[in-house]
Amino acid sequence: MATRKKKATEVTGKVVMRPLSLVRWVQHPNPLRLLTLDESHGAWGGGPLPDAHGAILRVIPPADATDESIGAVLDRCRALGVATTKLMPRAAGDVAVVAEVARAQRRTHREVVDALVQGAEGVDHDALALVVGAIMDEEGL
Amino acid sequence: MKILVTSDWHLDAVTSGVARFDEVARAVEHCIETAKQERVDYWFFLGDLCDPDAQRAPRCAAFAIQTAAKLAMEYGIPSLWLTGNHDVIEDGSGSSTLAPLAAAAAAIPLRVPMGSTGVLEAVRVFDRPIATRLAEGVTFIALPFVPRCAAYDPVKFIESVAERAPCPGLIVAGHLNVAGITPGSEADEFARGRDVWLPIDAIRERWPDAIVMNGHYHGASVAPGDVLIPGSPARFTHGEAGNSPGCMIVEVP
Repeated sequence: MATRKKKATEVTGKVVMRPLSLVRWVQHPNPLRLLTLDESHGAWGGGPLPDAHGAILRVIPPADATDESIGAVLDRCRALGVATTKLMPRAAGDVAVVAEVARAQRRTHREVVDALVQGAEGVDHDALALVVGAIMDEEGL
Repeated sequence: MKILVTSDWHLDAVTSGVARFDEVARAVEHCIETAKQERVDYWFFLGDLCDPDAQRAPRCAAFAIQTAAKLAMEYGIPSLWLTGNHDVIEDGSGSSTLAPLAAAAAAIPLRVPMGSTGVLEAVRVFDRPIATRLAEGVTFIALPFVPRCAAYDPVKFIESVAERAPCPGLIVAGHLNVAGITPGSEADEFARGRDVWLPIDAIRERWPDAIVMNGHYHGASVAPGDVLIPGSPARFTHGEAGNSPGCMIVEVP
């Protein structure tokens, strides 16, 4: 096995050790920034916007934001000179408690058909019920 | 020997409607300038030029050829290019977005200093695993992404070349999955292909001091097993907002 000579290497400010080699990262100047204006940002209350000139800005409005307030914030962002804005859905708000809607009671096929038979006009309900009942018996309903 | 390592250009990327080609091209120009200033001996690209079905794919392939030609003909820097999971064309042909560069390689001469007798290939594209001598005392193992039509087992390949590759001066470069890295956009917005793992245990068992580097991941880091990740030259998704885009310089004594 080769002798393990250790030399310091750097990656984004951290020093790491590598045997037999020197490694470093060179950062690019001015890479495009990707920023997020989330629902808790002060801009939604009229506060200042982040420095987003030239950036791709993702905008997440609070749950109670109106279309007008969202439009106003987007206008302010564009005035800053952002590369583009991406409007995301409003943040999830508090869970609203609504009254439970009574479910329609489930009925059997026979109950549904019987009700239709009884509601039919101009017919002998008993005779019709006899015929329909026989068919439903055949079908196993 | 000094090497500049770059990867994951994704020249076809579009973020929130903004095409990223021009910005990434500027970042690559910065890499070329760095390579020139640092007087590097080699340029490594560790995969993911662009998706083959992207509308911009021809422009991206042309950019790769221009870059390799500039490195070789203006600065005398030979370049090695690995295919990544985004580069391969899974139509059974085995082709990739780096195929045009591979075809053009034969026509790209390497500017060599006057009086030099060395013969180096200006451009080499690796879409299959290989172990080759890079320079005197330096062996290079390429582990590109494993396409379905030309599948290979990275562990078996490492076992097969273990006898031929000496430990000192060994460089292993791959575009595979690395255990211990929490994937970001690579497994989300930029997911493509399948997971094939870098056999870091098999590599370290045989060559504990090898320099191991891997593309695929967009954030620069040193992964478990001392795997060097150069990262992307740009931030492509909001999940990468905290990344420091750039390139990596490796000096091999």
